[in-house]
Amino acid sequence: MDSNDLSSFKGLYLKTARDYIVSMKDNVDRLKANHQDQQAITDMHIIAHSLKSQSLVMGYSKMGKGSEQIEKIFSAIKNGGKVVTPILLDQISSVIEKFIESLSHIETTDTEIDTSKNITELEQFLT
Amino acid sequence: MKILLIEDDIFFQKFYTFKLTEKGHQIEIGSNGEEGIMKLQQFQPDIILLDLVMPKKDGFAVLSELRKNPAWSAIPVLVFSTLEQKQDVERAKQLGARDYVNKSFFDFENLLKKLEAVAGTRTV
Repeated sequence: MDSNDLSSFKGLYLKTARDYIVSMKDNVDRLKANHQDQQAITDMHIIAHSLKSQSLVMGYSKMGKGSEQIEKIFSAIKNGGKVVTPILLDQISSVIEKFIESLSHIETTDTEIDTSKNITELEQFLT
Repeated sequence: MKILLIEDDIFFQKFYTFKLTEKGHQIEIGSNGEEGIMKLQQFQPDIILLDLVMPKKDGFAVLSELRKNPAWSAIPVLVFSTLEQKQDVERAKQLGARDYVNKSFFDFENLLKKLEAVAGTRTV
């Protein structure tokens, strides 16, 4: 077996990615209640970072890129360069729904769905 | 080789433990920076594999703490990074990390080579 063959880790990836998405949704709800919830901001940054890393290593580049955008956004918010807004939270909620759909697609077909429109919207938040 | 893996992500904990144990290495895990430092009280690793972004004490804080303690400052550290973290890698190296492993794609042979190379840089 090729030492770089990661197919046997797909089940683990799906489980941990889904757990992260549940946590993301919880943190989005916390931020909807309080835009300045520092713990939720920190947690979103770490969760997005982790989801990005494991998605990229498994070859799921769209999941990785979407997570990377969320990571960058919450890094900027943590550093005081940006603030949480209702529009941002709605965009992130949409991306999360796309992630859920994409993970189901990955599970059955090992391919991701197109999330480019959502990622473009997130990129604009940082410009 | 005895490896202390300080990594909060469960996927990577299991992933690296499986891959490295298959090659005969002994792995201990710290699920965050605080836990990683606590593990050093009872486990003497040949090398530390360290994630930078973690809750409860990040990788930079761990590196700072390692270099302050004479019992730990000699242990070589290999940090994980992703493609966008070049500045973080530089900062980690200034804090004492010997090298880094790119977490964005998996190259097991490269990881093994780096582990061997970095573990050999342990100072007395």
